[in-house]
Amino acid sequence: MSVNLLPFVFVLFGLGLFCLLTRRSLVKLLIGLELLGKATTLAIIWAGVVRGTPATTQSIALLVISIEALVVAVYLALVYAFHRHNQSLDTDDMRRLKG
Amino acid sequence: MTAQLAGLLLFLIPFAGALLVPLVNFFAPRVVPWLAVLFGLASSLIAFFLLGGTPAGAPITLDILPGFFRSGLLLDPLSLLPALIATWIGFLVLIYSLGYMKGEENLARYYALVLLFIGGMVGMALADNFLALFFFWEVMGVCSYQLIAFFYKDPKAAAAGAKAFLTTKIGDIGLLAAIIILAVNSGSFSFSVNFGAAAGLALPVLGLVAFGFILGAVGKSAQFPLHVWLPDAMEAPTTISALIHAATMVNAGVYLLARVSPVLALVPWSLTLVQWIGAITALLGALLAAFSNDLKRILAYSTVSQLGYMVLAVGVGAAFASQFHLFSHAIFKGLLFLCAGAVIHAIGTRDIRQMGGLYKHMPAVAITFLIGAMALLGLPFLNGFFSKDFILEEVILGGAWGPLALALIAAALTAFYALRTTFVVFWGKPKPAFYQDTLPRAIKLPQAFSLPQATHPHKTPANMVVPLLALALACFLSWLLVGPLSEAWIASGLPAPALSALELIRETFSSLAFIFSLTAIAVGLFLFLQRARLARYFHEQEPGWIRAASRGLGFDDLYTWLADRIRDFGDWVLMVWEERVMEGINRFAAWASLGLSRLSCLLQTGDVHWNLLYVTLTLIVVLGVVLW
Amino acid sequence: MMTQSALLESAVAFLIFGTLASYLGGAFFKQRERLISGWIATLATAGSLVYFVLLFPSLQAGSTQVALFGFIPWRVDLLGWIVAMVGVVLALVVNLYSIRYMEEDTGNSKFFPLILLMVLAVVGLAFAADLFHLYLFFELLAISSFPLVAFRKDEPKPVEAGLKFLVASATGSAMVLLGIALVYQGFGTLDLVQLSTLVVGGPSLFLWLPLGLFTVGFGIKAAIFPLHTWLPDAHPEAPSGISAMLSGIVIEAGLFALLRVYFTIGGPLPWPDLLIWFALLTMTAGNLMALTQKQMKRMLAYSSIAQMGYIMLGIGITAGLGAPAGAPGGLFHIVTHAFMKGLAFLCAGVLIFSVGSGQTADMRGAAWKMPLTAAAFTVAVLSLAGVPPFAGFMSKLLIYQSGIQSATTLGWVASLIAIANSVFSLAYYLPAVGALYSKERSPLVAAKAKEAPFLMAAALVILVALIVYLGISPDPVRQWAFQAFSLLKGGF
Repeated sequence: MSVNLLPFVFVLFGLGLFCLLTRRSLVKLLIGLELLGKATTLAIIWAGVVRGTPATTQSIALLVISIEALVVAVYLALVYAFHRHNQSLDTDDMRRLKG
Repeated sequence: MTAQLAGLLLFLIPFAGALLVPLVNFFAPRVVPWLAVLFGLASSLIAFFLLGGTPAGAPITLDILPGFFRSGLLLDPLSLLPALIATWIGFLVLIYSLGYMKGEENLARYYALVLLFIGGMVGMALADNFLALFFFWEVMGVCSYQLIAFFYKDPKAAAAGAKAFLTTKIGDIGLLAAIIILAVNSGSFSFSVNFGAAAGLALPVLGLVAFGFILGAVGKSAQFPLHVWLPDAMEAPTTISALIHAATMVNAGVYLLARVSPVLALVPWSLTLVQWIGAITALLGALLAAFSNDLKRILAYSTVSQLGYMVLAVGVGAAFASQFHLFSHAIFKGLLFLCAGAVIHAIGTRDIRQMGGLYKHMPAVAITFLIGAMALLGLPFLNGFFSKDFILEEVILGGAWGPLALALIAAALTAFYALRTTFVVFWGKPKPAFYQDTLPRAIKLPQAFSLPQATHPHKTPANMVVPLLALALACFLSWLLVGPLSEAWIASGLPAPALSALELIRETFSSLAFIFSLTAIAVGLFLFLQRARLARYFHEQEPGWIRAASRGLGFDDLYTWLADRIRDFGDWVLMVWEERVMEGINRFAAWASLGLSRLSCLLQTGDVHWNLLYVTLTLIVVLGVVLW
Repeated sequence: MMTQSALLESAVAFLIFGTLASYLGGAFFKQRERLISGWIATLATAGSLVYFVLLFPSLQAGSTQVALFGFIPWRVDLLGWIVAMVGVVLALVVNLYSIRYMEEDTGNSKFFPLILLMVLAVVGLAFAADLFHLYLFFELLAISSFPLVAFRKDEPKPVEAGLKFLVASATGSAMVLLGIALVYQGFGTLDLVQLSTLVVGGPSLFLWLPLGLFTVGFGIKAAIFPLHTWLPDAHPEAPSGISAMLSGIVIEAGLFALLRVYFTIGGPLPWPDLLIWFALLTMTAGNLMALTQKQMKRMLAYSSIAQMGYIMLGIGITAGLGAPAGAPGGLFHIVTHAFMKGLAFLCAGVLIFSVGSGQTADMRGAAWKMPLTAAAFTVAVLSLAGVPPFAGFMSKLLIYQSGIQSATTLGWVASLIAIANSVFSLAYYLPAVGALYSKERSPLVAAKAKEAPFLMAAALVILVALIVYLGISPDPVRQWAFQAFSLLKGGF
């Protein structure tokens, strides 16, 4: 197998981090988190491919995705509450706690 | 009962009592005095039987605190004698306190402290190592402070307590320094190890050690020049004075010197120093006693003087003689103090110029006081006679002629003030004493000096009389114990002459010292008989030194001046240190830490993107470090 | 005698069914949801605790492989047991406390089940035998704690804190997972024991990336210094019981996961040095930042960061410099810190509950009206500062000792810095105590303060007793800590 997906994984992960660092909207933050998640899922599956145990890793990946869904659910609930308090989704409004 | 168990009990009972008394006070305050007496009785009985039953041979040690440092009980005659004195005099003082302290406030505190004081002395005497000795030494220091200032509402009492504490502290520093040097040298606190190892020290260091021990003893035993606290300690209840003078505190210094005499013997000049300190103190104390008009102060100076004799004895290498005198002194001085207490209790003043003719009112007290005074001046066949002559004899044998001369003058003065005090107080006319006018004119008598006479003196309660009679009897008999004492002493390997009571009599009457001391008594008697002429002389000439003597020879003034200077200097140093140095450091530390704190809190931007930036940067750094 | 796996299954079953019963009971009896839900949770925790205690004798020999309910691969050892026990005991106290504390909140039928879930996650984390399950329970811990932090969703601050916590935590989880994927790709297995043998001969260079990812990923949860930023926001905004859980066991669980990984596959890499440096940074920064805090709980949160530094330091010194006392000291500090920081947060909770403000300044003079709480708080902070005769002193002592034992410059310097930090920490603990015992009372205190109600007071007393007991006779527990590390071979 001549393809190596790992560089792609790292690029995806880096993009996710970049997104988290620069985008100032809570929704885009979610997208950044999802990018990180997808990068790792991909890495897991790729590891299975490399090791010749795709079934194991794919089942792990499925579990990870469902966990991610849980996290996203909680995240969205919090974002919803945040929006109710602030009428905005801007992280600049999320600076009450500091110092 | 084995000796170990008895020793342990002797050591623990006073402390147990001191602990129990405050507890019992919660629900049964009336029982407290009797409880204290009971504890005193228990420990004194044990001490008595322990002294008789000490097995011959090596001192007994046993582990009290295994692990941290090895501490034990040292049961030899040298250590048991002070313990015996402390417990017995303490017991008598406790009985006496039943009457004397009746109706005072804070009785639980009083009895607890008295028991603790006795316990401290016993613990100090029985300690087999320097650390424990120092600990109990300090226990006594604290107790003396508390008890001297027992009537703390009286500013004079509070000041006297503080003075005693601070003055003895000077000595304590010396003692601690000596102990530390020895412990660093040998790596142990034990007496036996250190006495062995001390010989290996260089002479200057050893001199320092000896000086430290002497300083400690000088402070605790109120020796010249640190004797100033003892007269002031008269502000204490009289029972406490008796305890301090006869049983606990001041004996500690003499005991210490006797105990460390192997170390002192290694330093040539130290014994000479001790001799001279002792002799000067003996003379000084007698002189000051002769010119005091305060009954308790006379007795206090007398204690200073007698302790001088004991120190002198240690200085000529006669530890046994010093302990023998300690024993006698404890008895007659305890007696004198308790009598004085009865007198003061009865007429409510301490000024002997306002006393006189008290024999009619309190014959028992008068007779016993006379016996005590005779023992003090060394009348033959009383215990003070034998022990003082013993000391003088040893001084003659030691060839210390200078100190001997001082000691003999002191003996003459002792005879003088003992006679004078007794006769003025009990047999004199009930009017101002003869040399009232010799006093500095600045000191005025109260106009109503006859007032105490007008009111009827209180009757002396029986529980105050019983200890007096017991002690008076002991004045006649205690010297008979010289035989068993010296036997036990020799049996445990301490240097002592082998003496029985009979031999003591023979030795004493055939010695040069006997003649000397009889002469001294005669001179004293002569002075006493000529007191009217003396008084006129002093009245007319009023030499400067007499004025000084009635003010304690100016030691207090000198020390006050010194203390003021030291305090001024200390204030200045403190000011510089506090205001400039410490304040600077404090300000800087506060400024720096607050500043750093504010700076680091800036890191907590509250912005989620910054948080994630830290994460990313950390990841990069960690990866870099791990790779590298 | 039940078998080990039966005991474990019973203990876990109590937690699982407790979660369900607590939720359903609360949901069915809406009127009394707090009491029903709370007591069910408390009883379930207590039941679970009983089985964990029974488990103890079987751990003396070393670790054993257990398939929980037949499919969850666990490896049971003393090290994990101690961490799990801390979690269960703390949860028991917190449940007891929260029954009364949460009386003004709604939605309590979710609160208590989430606490149980949190404990379950800690237990799972403590025993997980492979990296994936480690991650799984780690994530469960995170997911159950997000809603708890933001439990008071009607106020803006808890929501904000929850969001920050979630973003940081999810980022960390992603890193951990990426690391796991890389490890699997490198070695073809996730089982920690197998990995520990493979690593010895395997390509160490390949491990640097996953290990770095693990360090940062778990480190976020463990609040290692530059990664701690979520903690001072999340811990104070959570209900006090949850603050106690978060500071007492959750961050330690993060560190514990990191240590499991280090002990198994960290071998070829210089992680102990890294840990020591991070530890020193963390404790110093935590203490510095705590100094100027105005809010009591925020101050305690920063102090948690500092305490994490001590734990890491102890373990780092043993692993890196070979002094035997450090790692047991760190583990013992996990135990004592759970109790004392738990106590501190619970006391702060009582104060806030009764005074109605989180500002330390508003609690001035509260001690005169609530003596028990103030005394318990004093015990907690003195213990945190490492003052004898409290538990914190004993555990810190071991850590100081280890640095000096190691007889290296780094060890000495580390110990001295740790001691200096302890002294420094008094600079913010004592003013807080002083404020409580201040002569003048703040208006809020004068108006509202009253002593803790019975259940809350009982929780405080239990923890005070534990702290004093461990401070005076630390030995059975301290011995277990030593034993746990002496049994350790390659992570288990």
